[in-house]
Amino acid sequence: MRRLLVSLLAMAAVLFALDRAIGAGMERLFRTSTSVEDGDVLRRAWNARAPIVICGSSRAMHHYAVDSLGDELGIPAWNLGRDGAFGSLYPFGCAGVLLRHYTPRVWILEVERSVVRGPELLARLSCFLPYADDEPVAREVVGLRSREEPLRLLSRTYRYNSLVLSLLSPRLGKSVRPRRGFLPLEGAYHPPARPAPEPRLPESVVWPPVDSLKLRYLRRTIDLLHGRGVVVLATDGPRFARSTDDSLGAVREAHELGRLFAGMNVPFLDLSSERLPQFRDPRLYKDESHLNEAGALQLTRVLADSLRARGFAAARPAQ
Amino acid sequence: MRRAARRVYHDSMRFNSLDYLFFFLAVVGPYFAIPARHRRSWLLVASVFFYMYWSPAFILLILYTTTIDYFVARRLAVTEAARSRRRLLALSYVTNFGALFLFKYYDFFMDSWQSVLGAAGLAVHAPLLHLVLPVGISFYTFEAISYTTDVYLRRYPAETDYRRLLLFIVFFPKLIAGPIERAWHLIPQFERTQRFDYARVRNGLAKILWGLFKKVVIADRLAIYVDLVYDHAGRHVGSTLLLATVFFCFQIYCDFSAYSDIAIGTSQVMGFDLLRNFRRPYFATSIGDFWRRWHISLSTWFRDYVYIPLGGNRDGFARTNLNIFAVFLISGIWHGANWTFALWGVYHGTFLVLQNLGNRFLPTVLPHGPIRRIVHTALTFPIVCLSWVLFRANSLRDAGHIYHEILFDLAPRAFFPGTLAQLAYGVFGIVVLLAVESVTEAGGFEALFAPRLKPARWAAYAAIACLIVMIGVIDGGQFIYFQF
Repeated sequence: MRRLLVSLLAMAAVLFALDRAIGAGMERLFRTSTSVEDGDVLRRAWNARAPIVICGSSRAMHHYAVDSLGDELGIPAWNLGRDGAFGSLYPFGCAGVLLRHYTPRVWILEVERSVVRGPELLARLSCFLPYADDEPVAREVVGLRSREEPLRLLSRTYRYNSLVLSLLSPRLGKSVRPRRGFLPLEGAYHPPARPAPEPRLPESVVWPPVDSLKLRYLRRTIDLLHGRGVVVLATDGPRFARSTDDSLGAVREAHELGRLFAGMNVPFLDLSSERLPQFRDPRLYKDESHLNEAGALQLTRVLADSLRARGFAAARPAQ
Repeated sequence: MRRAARRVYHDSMRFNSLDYLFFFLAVVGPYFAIPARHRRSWLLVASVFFYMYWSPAFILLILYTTTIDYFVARRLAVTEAARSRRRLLALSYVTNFGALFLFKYYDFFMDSWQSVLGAAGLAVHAPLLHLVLPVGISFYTFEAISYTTDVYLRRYPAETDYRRLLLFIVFFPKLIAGPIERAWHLIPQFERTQRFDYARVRNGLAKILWGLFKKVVIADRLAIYVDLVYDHAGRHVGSTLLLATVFFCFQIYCDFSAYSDIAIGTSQVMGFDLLRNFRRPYFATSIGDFWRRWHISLSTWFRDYVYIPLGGNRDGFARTNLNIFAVFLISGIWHGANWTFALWGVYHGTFLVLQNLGNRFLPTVLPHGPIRRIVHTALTFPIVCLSWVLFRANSLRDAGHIYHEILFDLAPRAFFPGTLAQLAYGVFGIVVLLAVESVTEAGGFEALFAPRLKPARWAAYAAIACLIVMIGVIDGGQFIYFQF
């Protein structure tokens, strides 16, 4: 028994030392990596102090060419879109972290029905792990992932779990030109000639119930931003409609989101292809949910026009 | 017909959770500290707590069936009349299989029956129960059945101590997903005084660590890609579906064998040997060989309690193959109340029958040796791999689409890579697994435990632990076989 205890203690000591060493190496890699999706994205955003921030899922990341938007309006903008961040906790975390460092003028929330419907994808909140020590909001969001999270955070390496390849990829030749968080997609969408053999999903799957956690955090996000005088706008970008069902779904979604955000005093910009017919062209898409770069540039112009109409053009950046 | 949704125990004590780590430490520490005569009671209390942590109410079901089995076995021990003995055995079967049928199969059969009648123009509305499946029911039911059958066949004496029988059923390492134990193998071990053995504890802990690696680094990582593809099978082309199928092949192996490793390792730490469940199945040289390496405790259960009672290979070639086919059909349905599982069993049964036919009527082409072994392994793997389509597909319709795309439309156009990092981690995990299993298959793995290799062994432990934290899917899902 004693021999086992000694062995276990020795192994624990080795693992502790390794964890600290690997964690320190990963932290350095994280801070210096130019990875668009998994690098030190929030620090880059607060250092840029852009007055316009766009936040949401991959549809935000691939749809809004913030460099062009900045050029059009004369106001710098930053894109905080993240793959899979469909819910309301990601925007809450981003808003909470950024507001500790500066106050943007406009916060654009790219949303879809899953901003309040269906369960939150908690695994995607791992992007806040590296900030958990210094940012209270990041720690709060991370804590929602699991009740084991405080214990896991005792590890320095855990904060950078599964990041090693994406952080190293820019150094391994897979370099992407940084465009203030915007990640353009290449290629065009070819709608399938034959219908996919997918069964018709039940209503409860397509429109899962409203999640109280998501709704609570969406309200908190908006209150947080409004409390600091930030103008919040919600947008829902276009999708390629394969059928009448898709079109009807998009109309219903826009209607529901419009009502939801009206109740929170947030203007909702319906940028769906039902509202903007130019986005019914498959050549503007990479797939049915994402625009390619040409589509993104067109959509950015539409957004710029809308922001200009609301008086956000050529204003001086906030200090 | 889509697969019925089952409750997932999100807050349960998964083997890959910190809850289990604390539970394990809280059980094992006192286990060696308390007097030997109290250890069995301690394990019983711990096991009941473990099960109730999952689903408190269903412990009553276990107590009910175990109590019936206890008294049935006691009566069997003193009853000589063949008819009475058969009735007693039937009582045990009805109790155990009845509970299994009610919770697992009732809705499935009712639904199927209504569909058949509906297709014939007869609208019948039988009530569906929508019951939550008691966790581990398929496993402990088979253990209970094996116990009463062995007592009936006088292969094992009736247990006189109710607590010992209950501990056999609820022994926590194997309660949820096996290995499916036998009374003759496990119960006598409860009687032995387990002394602390450093080498055994170390090997048990190493097994747990390797199991965690397989679950967290390989299975749950591959699951991300597999789920993305299989949950929208209709949107993907053959090349994507083939890659997802190969990934699932390794995912399910790593997931299930990880559970078995952790169960066996946990038991080993406390001094118990559980039945072996896996023996590098993807190195199998035939479908028959695969089933001697995959879920061994289930295969041997079916052999002993279904195949042999049906006549085994005693009644001629045709009857033997019919028996094999029947066993695999039942085995498929055991896995889940869905036609995809039934067809999965039929698939394996068919290939096993074809293999028997080939062995009987076709001449041997390659001489025995390494080349023959490699060729046979290379031929067996794709057959097994393609069978997993039925196991994973959400519906028969999806399975049909996937087979069509893989077999007839394998062009790499529109290949869906997911994120390249996910692919790279997944491939890395598979390479590590195959490297370790190749060494083990060649008989070299045990050498790692030689005393002179202590630094290498420690380095391996540390590397595995670091990899789990660095690239493991820490928030991964439940073990797949829990749903059965």
